[in-house]
Amino acid sequence: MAKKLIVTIIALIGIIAMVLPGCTAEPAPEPPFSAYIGSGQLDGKGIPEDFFSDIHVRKAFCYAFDYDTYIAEALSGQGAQRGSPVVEGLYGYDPGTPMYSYNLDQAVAEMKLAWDGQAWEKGFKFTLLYNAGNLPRKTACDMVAETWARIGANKKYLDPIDPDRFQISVQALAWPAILGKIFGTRDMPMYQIGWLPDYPHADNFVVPFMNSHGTFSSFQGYGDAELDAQIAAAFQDTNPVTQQQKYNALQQRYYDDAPGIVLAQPLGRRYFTQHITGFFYNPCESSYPGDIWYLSKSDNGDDIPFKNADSLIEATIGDAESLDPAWCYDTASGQQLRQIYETLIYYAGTSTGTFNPILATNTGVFNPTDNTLRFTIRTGVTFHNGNSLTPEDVEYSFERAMVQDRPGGPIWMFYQALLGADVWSYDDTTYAAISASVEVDGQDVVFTLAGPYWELPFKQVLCGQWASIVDEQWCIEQGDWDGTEEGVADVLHPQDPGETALFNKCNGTGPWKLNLWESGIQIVKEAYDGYWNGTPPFHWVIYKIIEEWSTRKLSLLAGDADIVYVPGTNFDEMDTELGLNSFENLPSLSIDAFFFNMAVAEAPAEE
Amino acid sequence: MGLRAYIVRRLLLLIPVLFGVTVFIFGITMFFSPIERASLYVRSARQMSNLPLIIETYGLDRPFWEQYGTWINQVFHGNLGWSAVVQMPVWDALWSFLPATLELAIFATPIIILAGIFLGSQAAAHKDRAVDHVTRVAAIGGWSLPTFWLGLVLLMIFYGYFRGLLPPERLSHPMNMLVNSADFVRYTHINTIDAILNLNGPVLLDALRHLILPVITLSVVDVAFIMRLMRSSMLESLGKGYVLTARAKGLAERVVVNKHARRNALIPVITVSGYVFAGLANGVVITETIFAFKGIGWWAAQAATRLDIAGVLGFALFNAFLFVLVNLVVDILYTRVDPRVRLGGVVQ
Repeated sequence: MAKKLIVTIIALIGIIAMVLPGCTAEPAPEPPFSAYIGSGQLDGKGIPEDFFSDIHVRKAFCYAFDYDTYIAEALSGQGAQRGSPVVEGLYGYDPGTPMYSYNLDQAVAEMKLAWDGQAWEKGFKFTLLYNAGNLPRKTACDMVAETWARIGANKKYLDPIDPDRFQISVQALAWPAILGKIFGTRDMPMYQIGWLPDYPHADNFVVPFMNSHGTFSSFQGYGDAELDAQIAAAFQDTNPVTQQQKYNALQQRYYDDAPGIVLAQPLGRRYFTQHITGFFYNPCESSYPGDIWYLSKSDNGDDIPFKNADSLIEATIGDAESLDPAWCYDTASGQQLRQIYETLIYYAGTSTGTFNPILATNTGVFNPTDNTLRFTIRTGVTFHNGNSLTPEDVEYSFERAMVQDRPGGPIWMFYQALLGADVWSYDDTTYAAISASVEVDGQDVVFTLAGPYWELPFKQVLCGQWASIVDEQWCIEQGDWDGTEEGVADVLHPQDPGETALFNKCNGTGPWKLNLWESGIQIVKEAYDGYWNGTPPFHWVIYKIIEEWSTRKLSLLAGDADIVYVPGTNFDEMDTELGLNSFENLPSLSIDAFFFNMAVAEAPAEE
Repeated sequence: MGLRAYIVRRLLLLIPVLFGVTVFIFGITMFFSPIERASLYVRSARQMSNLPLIIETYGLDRPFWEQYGTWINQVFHGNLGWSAVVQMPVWDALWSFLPATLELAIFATPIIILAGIFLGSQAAAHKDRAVDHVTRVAAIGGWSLPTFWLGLVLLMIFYGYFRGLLPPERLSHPMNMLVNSADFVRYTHINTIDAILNLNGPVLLDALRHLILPVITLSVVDVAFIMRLMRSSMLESLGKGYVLTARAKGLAERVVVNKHARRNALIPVITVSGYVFAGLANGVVITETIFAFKGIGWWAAQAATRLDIAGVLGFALFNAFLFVLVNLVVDILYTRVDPRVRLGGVVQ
């Protein structure tokens, strides 16, 4: 027996010794070029690292993409081609931006110009990667590969034909690995990734896609100081007419430079059971069923059993990350907060640029002489625990978010809007400056903006869930920030969501209060009897997490769920089901694009 | 050696096992780059420029021993870390997802074992006759069915075709609200047991209704396994001399089969049964996912696919612990079935 033990231990040590070299050794030196660009040279067996730095290569790829077929097949027809990443529905969108069309003649003409004709003469070979399981992305990769194979096999372009001249292979990798390649090793020549807005403003798209420090552009090696200045000038223009012209010019610039293939703006669909009515869609509404306040439920028809009359049940994927408004930066969490908390203003109807007062009684009075934005706070509003809403609660809500300043969270928007372009986090400023940026004046709350051009974008920021109003007294009772400079150290920069006092506790002014959050399973909200603006349409609002699509679909058809998340690839099968109300062509403020990596496997640009 | 000393020694064995398992898993995760591991904390594209910050915050680029040291230090302070896929401490995650899995295991294990033993011994006793052929074909069929296929087909028939008859998840919406209200005490979080303790019939019936399909799905595959094992083991002991003796002295065939042959044939089945239970109790990923019966297997699968390393390690610790424990129980059971076995490795 003792012998056995010793043998076990020796075996374990052996295993550890086998594994350790992989862990402790210094990372292997970078190979001369990536594994995805073949020989690394323009010899027909690969591509050079900077293959895509030639604009003719990029344009050739833009022309050699069949946008209509992509939208029809990959998106079930639910998409619209766009000329630049600035999509319809954003402030600053230019419907006149030109778009590349599928044109093999032009693609060939451009490729013949690239690399002094060498790209065409020698051909190329590289690998396209996509994140496994994402069917639209796989379709797009396959289409790129097939199109170039067809060009090589077409006598019109190549005589004699050479089917192997343009070889693109397609490979799947797990999402973390793809992320590691885009933002770490940068060894993929071309890749796809999508973007969702923080606030519906062109600036929120041109910066990540075009600024030399942008989230995407910096890693593909696009952008320069001149373009950065142009982006800043567009944002800071307070004249709407000239500002629009500047954004038009930027969108034209993206078309001209072709740093990526802009695939499509997805148009979403929603499927409800026939028992649910009243849906309307605002593109900024991150939550899947939209604003549930306008929904109602009654027994309409027999195709689907009518159950749980007093409840709205949504079955979907993806749990909330936290229920702390200052922490949340994802759609699942935002959707919960939208039902529990309220903001000062919110988008009016289906608009993305006009607002309705919610916890304020006006939509903000801007004073250009001192860059202040003034809101009058509504009276007669109570939190779920019965406390009354005061202007001090509003001031506390914003200061609390800024002194918590969760790393990687949404609060950079407050810092940028209130404290200036150089301020991204608590480390870049002082407590006094934060304190002075939001002040109470009688029944009013006054924000001092970093510049007059922030008036519209800041109002858009105020509609986000990060700008939810919390109850100061209750927060302090829960052990949250005490409202003093000394107390900042206790709450600053939390690492895990559970470290913040409001992680799984809520006390908002919204129509529903948190009843139960079973992590990974469901989030249950119950109507708040004391809601200031009427009786909520449902007693229970339930957000259930069911990962398996077939199970989710069956719950909808059995009436156990009123709405389910339908992935784009399953739209077609839903159309044959009876008893559903579907809403189509709902523009989402997002874009999927191919990015050309202009310098494969180079060290990432410094922020 | 006494039973107590044996148990203590087996439990002591846990220490190197747990250490080895965690070092091994931790080592494997180090093959993923810091960026890949940081992606766990990225929930949307707009956070991607924060990757370097995340790596620094969580020390993901530190050397192996430093990262492992931080983790093991936490563990010695009673903190297994934070499972980011379910947003709760690993310890809480284990406790909150275990009851669902245990509920499945508690119902499925007896069905699997008893049905497997019964069918297996029937098949062996009627070797090469109709009973044998039918059970063998059924066993091969059951064993070959992929769980995800069987589960989905059952769900489509009994939930889809018969609208809402046997639903997924653990409880229906009104019962769910009831068990989470103040009127219902959740002693164990195993709904059927809690319903009995609360003397609540509707909850019990509802919980059973939700259990039928996942338990059938689990049983069909594993019954086949036990049945085949029981059959071959039984055939072996039916050919032994003592069975011949028993028959020769004129014992009834029922007694020969049930008492002389079956009891001896049970030994390998007991070993495997322990693992069947352990296998069910450490979670059944596909069944739990298809039926949205969220248990520990679902959690572990989520943690693994999203590189939630604290979660994976916590699950591995639980698993190692469970298997050592089950092994121990199986060993003790041996002594009950086979009087020749003495713990401590001495076979007389």
